[in-house]
Amino acid sequence: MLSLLVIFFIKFEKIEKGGPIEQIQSPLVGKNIPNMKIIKFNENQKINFSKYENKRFILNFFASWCLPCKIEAPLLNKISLKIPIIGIAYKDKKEDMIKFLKNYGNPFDEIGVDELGSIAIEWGVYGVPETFLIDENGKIIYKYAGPISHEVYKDKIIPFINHD
Amino acid sequence: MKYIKIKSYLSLIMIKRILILVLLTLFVTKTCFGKLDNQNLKVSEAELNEISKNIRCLVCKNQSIVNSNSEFAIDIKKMIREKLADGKNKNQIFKFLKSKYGDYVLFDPPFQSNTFILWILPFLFLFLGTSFLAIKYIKFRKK
Repeated sequence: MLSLLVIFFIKFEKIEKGGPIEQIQSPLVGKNIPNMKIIKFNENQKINFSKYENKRFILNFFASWCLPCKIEAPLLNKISLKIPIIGIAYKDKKEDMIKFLKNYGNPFDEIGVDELGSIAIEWGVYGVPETFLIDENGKIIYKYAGPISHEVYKDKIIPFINHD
Repeated sequence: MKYIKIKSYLSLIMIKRILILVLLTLFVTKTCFGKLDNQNLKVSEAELNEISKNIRCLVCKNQSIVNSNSEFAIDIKKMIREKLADGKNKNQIFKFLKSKYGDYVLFDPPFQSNTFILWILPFLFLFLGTSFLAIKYIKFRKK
């Protein structure tokens, strides 16, 4: 009973304070990116991650049917001017994705396809959009689930881009 | 003569019918086997359900993936089916999921350094409560 009360008060305090979407801590943060073949959209070849060696980049899971992906699109377009972004189309149809990128802009340097959702599992993704910040050593240093907010952009992405 | 013609005509019809029947049988058998293949009957549904019951649907409200139709639940159930078909056991599947989503993905948290308090706390409170009541009772009896 006492432990339940403690949990209740901690949760209540968090709700009172407000804040960003509650994030589930990913065990992949601090580890190397999953070693899995990702086929490029419209090309019969895989994404070559060695191209990003010694470079920082962002990887974003998205889908044309996902409403929050439309919400984060303007910010993602802005970010793409400063850092390469790889997009992974999660369970999407080719025609819908083309239409989506035409309507909301294409911030991606490369687009990979995850038709079956198996790549998402390897990356510990449980919904779209999800964004990974990857450092020059190929390590995931931050993961954000949900549409990128201005707070995340300012507090996490900008320092990540400007890192020396 | 006419009788022979009719007979050969009838036998032709019969051959045609038999051929259609054989083709239909083959088609139906193939369709059935195709369906069996998709459902992967080599996997025990009971085992799949037992594993799924302990996996939290991360996009639902305190629900396991068993009764969820979310994309997440569908993907994970498909993955479990594939892993079971590959000969992986329950613990190996849980370990894999933990490595991707953390302990939170399981309803029963494992007994380890960062979760032992969760396991110990109820017993500790039970012990403290019982001791308190026992002391009170002894004092009461003495009076």
